[in-house]
Amino acid sequence: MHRRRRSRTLALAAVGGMLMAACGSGDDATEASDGLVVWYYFSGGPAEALEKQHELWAEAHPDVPVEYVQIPFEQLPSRLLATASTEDGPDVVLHNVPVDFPALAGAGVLADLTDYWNESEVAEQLPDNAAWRSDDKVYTVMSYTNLLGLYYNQNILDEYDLAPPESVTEFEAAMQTVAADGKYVPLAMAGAAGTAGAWNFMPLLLGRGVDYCNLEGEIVHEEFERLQRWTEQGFVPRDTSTWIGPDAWQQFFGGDVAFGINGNWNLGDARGAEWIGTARFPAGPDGSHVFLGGEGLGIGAFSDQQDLAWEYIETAWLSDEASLINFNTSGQIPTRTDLAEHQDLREDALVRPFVAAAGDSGAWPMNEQTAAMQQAMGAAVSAVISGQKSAEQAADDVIAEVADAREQGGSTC
Amino acid sequence: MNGRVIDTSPLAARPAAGRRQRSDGRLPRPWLAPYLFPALVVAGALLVYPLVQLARMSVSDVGTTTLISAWELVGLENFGAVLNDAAFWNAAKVTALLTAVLLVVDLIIGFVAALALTGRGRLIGATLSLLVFVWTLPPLVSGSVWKFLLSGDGGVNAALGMVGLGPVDWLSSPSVALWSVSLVAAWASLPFAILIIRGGLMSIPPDVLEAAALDGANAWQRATRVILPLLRPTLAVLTILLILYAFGSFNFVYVLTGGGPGDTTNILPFLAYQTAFRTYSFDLASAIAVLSMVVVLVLSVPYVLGVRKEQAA
Amino acid sequence: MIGRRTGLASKAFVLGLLVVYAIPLAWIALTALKSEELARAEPNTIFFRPTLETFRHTLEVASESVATSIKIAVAVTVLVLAVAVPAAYALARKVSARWSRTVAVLLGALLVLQMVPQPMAVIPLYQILAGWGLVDTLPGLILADTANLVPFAILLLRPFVLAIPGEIYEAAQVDGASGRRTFRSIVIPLLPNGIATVATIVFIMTWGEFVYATTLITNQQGLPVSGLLAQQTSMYSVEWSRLMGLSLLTSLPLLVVFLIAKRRLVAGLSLGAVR
Repeated sequence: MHRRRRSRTLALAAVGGMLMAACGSGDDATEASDGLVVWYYFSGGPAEALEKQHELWAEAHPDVPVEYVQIPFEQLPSRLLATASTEDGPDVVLHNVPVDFPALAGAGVLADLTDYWNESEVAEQLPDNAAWRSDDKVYTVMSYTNLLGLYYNQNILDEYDLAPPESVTEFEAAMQTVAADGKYVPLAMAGAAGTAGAWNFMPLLLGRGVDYCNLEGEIVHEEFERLQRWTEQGFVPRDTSTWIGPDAWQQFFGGDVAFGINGNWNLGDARGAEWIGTARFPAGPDGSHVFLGGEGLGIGAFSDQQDLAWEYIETAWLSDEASLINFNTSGQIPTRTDLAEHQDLREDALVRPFVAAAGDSGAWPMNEQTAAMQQAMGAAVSAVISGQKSAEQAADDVIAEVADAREQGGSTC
Repeated sequence: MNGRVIDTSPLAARPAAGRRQRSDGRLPRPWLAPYLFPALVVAGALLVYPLVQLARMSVSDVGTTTLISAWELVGLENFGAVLNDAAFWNAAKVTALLTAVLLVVDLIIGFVAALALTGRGRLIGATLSLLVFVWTLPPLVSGSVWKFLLSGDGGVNAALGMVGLGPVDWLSSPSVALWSVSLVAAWASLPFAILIIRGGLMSIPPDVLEAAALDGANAWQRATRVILPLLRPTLAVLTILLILYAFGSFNFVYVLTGGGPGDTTNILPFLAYQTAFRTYSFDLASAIAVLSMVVVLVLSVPYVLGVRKEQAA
Repeated sequence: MIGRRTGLASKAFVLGLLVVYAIPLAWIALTALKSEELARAEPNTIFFRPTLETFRHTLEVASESVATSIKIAVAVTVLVLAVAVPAAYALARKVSARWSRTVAVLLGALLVLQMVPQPMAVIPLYQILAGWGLVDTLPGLILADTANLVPFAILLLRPFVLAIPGEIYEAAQVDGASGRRTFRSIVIPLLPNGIATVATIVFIMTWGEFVYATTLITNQQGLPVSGLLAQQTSMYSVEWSRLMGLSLLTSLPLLVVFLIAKRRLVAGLSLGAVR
């Protein structure tokens, strides 16, 4: 509390100074805020959760209204960058961390949250990897995470007397059984050129100890060959090469597909269908690892009420109540470590694999060109599934392109 | 606001009074500059600056960290990088094919359809309305519908199956996907082409056609020898606009294939978009956009020369 | 006389067109009549119990956006025509060799201006509008859309002006009509087809424009239809039923615009000699 008051006084002094410099243009420099502006892009369940979480803030601060601005996913970064060019922008922004973080942090549109993060009591409950850093400064924090798991159709598994697979080997054997009968499609996953394909394929590499930072060698070839086998043997339909997450989910949810690789945000749908079960992404020799995705919370660099914005983030997102509301409404997994054992999360069998996976994730490259790496990977995945490129060719290409991008982004990782 | 803009229109501009006394005995030339004035104001205020910024970015180092600070000039480095990238040449090839399909379908079918839809009658009215209605649907929607219809187990393959054909991987076969995307884009822009051509057709003075009919020309002869030449300016502009559309719009690629499978449908505008907003290399994206502009400009040389000729006539 | 066969072929052709455009439309309508769950689980089925839930919901959310879109589209159409009609007139007159060269250059310039990719124009445009205090306002968006469509409209209108025979100008001059009067009482009345066609197209394109609509306006109440539609998908899910229903209902006003404009299309070929 103390600290916060001090920084607020400092902020006030700064604002006061600016006003004096501007010859006291007449704006009132009182503490009364005319509200916060929050930008986000999601719809559906997560948006519903946002509305409910807002109630926590409304109770705590009835005098500070919040204006929520939904900007279409594709437009959010450009809009944010545009406002920055005029030193304007939102107080709080929820953005697509794994892809956008280096760009937004690097462009200077996000405020430095290091002090808030280090000094916040609420933040102590979050693991360190919930804070996203650039040059050792925190710019974004994640109150929840989204990740991939394996959905399965219990009816189909029963029909062939199969158990949910735990390893990639078991997984392939199961798909083989399903494919051999020809009645059902074994697997629905996303394989489109772009981040979707990369996001779905990478866990196979992560399971063998390879990520974007050490992407090279025989293992990459082997895993692309595996993917090629999946297409050739009909484990995945060729259309997979143009599917993004929702397309793949649509296929699986139709009921004629044995397995679906998809994210926890579909748990809402899954709870309504008693034939759906979940497991962790099938493990390779190195275990089961997936990337942590989801939105991060940042404060606009040009917000003049950053303290208030941080308070909003704590109250409406990082707090245990907020995290649980979010989880129960949308199925997004809280990052708070103290909630991992909470009964809401423990008792829900569908969620358990995702919660477990959240604690065992792969490492994103800390490189300005991370988006370019993911693009290259996605294009390779799509090329192999469609048959445009051989596994050999695609692996060679993607290794070279990722290395290029890494170097361009300053070789950090 | 609106009022002020309209006030600057040539109707309120200086009359050509002073220019009336030309001594060469011919009729005075109209003074046309005021008619261009509002357009120049709009272009100068809102269109030139973005163009200048684009050009500047294409010769500067503009990445994520430098976007909103001063840009460092790097000369033609970006163009070198783009021209050395296989992805660019692939995109250029893909764009060329999409443009060709678009032009062939929209101009030929568009012309025939406009002729067929010029008369009256309930069927014609209904078809026109339907075409326009479908055209107004957002690409996100009409594209998604085709994604469903063209999917492996979608409606098109089901129909083919009934006559014992297929199935075809319309969107995921590397050799077919580009054709599918091009045809969907053509399907979506055809109503526009029909509207334009039909508008042009209806402006042809009736006596011209009557004269041709009296000369004993049949429908085909009238279409090719009388109507087509008269529509030439309209068709020329339409061609240019369709090329612009092909080089500037990627909605259907975005919805149908996301540039895939692999990179087989990654057209130039989509590549530029990806480069700018997915990998945040604004400089390279600008270079791609500038190169696209140059191609379009080269393609429109015949149009511009044609303009000079028809102006001289 | 002139070919019953041609007439028949033409009818068959029109029917073909009708089918190619009606099927996707029917698919959209069917999806809009499904519940969200059904649309997701069985996108291709045509046997189901329809629900009007989507349309009910749509009417609720969309009416305000439709009003906003109408405001924007009307303003943009009027502005674009006010700017483009005189410009197209000037660029279609043949007065001197020098003017012809100027016209060629200006048309080339219009093409270039037309080509800046919209997403990349957002940032500089935003800066300009911010300088005028017009960010997040309808006038700002209207100006941006107008600028976006003016070159296009000029290019499209020019052939219509070209079709006016040169003798008409000469006759007007002999009669002593001023340049202004020629334009107002002779040229404009001769352009109903051009103006109706281009106005329709500009109106429709403005209605569908969403890149500027979602980046230059963020005020949620002020979002036009195109922005509302763009919001229906995200990387997590697509609400198909809602998306389709919304797009159907919000396209209806455009149909009305078209029907009005169609009536204004005066057949130059009286009684359709091309039948």
